Amino acid sequence: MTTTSTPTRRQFLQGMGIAATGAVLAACAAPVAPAGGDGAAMETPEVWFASGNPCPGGGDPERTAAVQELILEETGVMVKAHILPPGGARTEKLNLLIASGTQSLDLFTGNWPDFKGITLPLDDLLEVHGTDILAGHSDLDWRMMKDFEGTTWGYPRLGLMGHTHFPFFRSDWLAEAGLEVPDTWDGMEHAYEAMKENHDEAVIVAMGRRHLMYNTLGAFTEHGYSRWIDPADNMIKPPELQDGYQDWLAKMNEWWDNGWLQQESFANPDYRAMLKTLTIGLWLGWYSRMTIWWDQIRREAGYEEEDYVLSLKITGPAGVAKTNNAGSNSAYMIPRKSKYPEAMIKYANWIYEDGPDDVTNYLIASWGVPGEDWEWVDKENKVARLHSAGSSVCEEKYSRDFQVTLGLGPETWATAVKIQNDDGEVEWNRHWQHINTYWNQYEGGRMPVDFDVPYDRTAIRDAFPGEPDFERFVEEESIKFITGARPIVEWGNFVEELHGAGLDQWSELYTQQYRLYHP
Amino acid sequence: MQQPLGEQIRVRMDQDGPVFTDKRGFREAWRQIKRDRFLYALAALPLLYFIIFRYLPMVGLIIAFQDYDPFLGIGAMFSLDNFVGFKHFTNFFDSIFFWNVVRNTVLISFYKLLFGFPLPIILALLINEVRITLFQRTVQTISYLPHFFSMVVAAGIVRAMLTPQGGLLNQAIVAFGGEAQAFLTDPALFRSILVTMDVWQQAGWNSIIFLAAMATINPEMYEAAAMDGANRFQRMWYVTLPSISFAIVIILIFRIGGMLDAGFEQILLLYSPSVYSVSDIIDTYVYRAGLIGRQYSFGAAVGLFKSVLALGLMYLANKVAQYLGQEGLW
Repeated sequence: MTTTSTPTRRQFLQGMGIAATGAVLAACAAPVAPAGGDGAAMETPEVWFASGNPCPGGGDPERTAAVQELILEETGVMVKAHILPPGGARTEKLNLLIASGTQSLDLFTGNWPDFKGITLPLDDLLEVHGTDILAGHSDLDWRMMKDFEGTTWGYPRLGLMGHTHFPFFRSDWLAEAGLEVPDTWDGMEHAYEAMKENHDEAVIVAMGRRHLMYNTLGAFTEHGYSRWIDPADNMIKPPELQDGYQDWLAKMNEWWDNGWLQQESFANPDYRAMLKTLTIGLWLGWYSRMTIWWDQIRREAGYEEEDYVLSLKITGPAGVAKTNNAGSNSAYMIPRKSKYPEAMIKYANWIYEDGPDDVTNYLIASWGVPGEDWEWVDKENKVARLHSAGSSVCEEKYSRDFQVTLGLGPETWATAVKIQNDDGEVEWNRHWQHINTYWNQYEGGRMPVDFDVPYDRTAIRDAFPGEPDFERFVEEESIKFITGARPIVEWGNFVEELHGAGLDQWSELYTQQYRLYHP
Repeated sequence: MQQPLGEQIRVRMDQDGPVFTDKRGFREAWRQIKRDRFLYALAALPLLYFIIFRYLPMVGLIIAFQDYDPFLGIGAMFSLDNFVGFKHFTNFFDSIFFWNVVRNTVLISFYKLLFGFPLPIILALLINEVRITLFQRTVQTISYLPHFFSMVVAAGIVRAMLTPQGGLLNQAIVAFGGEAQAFLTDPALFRSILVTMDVWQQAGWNSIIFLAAMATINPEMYEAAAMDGANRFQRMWYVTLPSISFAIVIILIFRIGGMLDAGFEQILLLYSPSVYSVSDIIDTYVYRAGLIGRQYSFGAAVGLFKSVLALGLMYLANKVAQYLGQEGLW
């Protein structure tokens, strides 16, 4: 006879309770690292990048794995990427990765002075493992990576940029009004008025005050969007205290009151959606929204007439309107917590290794496996054809997770490569052409007074904890002046408030740092 | 059994009889634990949750009194070398934005309390009076629905409604001959938008607890009131409301205790430089300083300041409730 023992309800629930408790305890336990021993010395270095991938969800996992394998074969380094989300969440995620005790991180980007103290000095690493990286950038670029003691804190990402800010006009609306591309402030206003007359929906879009200043402030002030040295006391002052800044504010307020500036210009709206509405007559924001986003929109929608044209130089009452973008501190950095800094530099050096004559390694990191993701059409003239989907289809291709050099500035040998898609069209052609044409055309804009000073903002913030609040206060109040929430007659009060917010301390700290580089 | 005199002193009376606090008492307690081990096992999970996720992280508050560098590891948190006392608190009090963020936090919370607290009660009273079950359930379901939208989705809906380029509201305004407005960048309107969105999203859900309290009211009280000639409004006023006053007070204490939580996610998703002056609250300030500006210690200090204020508010609300003759939380 067989007896079956059926657990009682109570026994069953007891078992469940114990199992669940055990599961929670197990889940809370620290992960167990694989045993070290002799095998540990042979382990493959695994390096992790904080990737500002244009595809937020990453690309095709199969293609990504293929690229990883190829890079592993070529360099002996296993590359991996944390994909950072777009927008404001990007900084948040990056900071969490940097501070995390459990997540690996071996490379990230940012302005190196902001991260000094949490990154590794790279001099020795570059000297031993990064000779091609060293050779790939100009002396000025490298100077921008060093503190005043000569220590190198990153390898260059952007360099000084002449191509990031131009006014882009709706070319078909200009033609409709019978106007040429303007090159003066009055001409720019006249052109916009004419467009507005024909198209009531026409607006000016600025992408916030910073881009508006890059594009226009020089027309009203001596130094444009730049800190400057006040001859009265020989101290560095914020751009907002230059003579002429009030005039600029008054002009922007006039634009606002006339309904010219798009009402969400200071509110981080969805600019891609805004571009699709075809209401933007004059674009005063970041260039790539035009060279990438608009170009995609135009091609996908099949627009023939509708397009934008840039004005190389707008001159206003005080001179050239544009200020060059001194993105010179922007760097690739290795955090102190990196487990494999040597492997990281070896991999980055591999990308630079064959340039500028042969850019195959750069293309592997950017576009994938040769013969599978792309192939040379004309290697001598650097024309390659993509096998995978176009740049707007993320999930069907390798999406540049392991690209750890941007190909800007003096690295134009990289951006000069023409990548054709399946239709024979050159991917991002407008974008790369724009960069290659204008990156070093600095004469069209004002050079920031302190473009070659990598301020150590961590030190400034330590000495003046209210510095972020100070900067934000200037931003907030300036926008109020533009939108009329605060009348311009209150300018004097604003300057007094700036003193209360720590202007003198701000000025002293920036001047101290400036003098380290310009004694 | 007779206890020796010395040990009898350690006996106290409970409603179930004498409880021994000597060894025998502990043995008895252990016996009871063994007997109810299943219940204790069930309680262990929530207890672990609170210990791990609510109490242990409080150790991290120590960084509010330090210049903490996350790269130095957890060990550095317990080193006196980094100790800076109240420096970060002083820096916050000295900040040009201190009064602004405190004012915005209190004002936005107050408006949300002012409009967001009575509306669920009114909604529950109205729903309770509906006699057509299908209609009642439909109204309830529709009013609960927005609560289940994630804040990102809800903010997206609000943005899509209010944007000047193609927003639903602006399309209607333009259709009637008006001009499109950028509602979300108007400092005069921003707080109203926050409060309206909060009420829209939460009123239905918050009415559930009041409906549940109303379900416990003895129907004979309504019958007696009706026999005394009370109309429907009078029955709501004199029967329903007093009967659910305990729930109203408890919820009010909770709301006041959480009053400094002015809606971090909602504001972060909707605000912009144009409206910072009326929308920047303590939580967004902490987020900016801590997570974006990597001033972890400063962010922790500001967060701790907020928590202490919230505790004080809750204590105060509890005292007031007790003073007014209601049951408090403790």
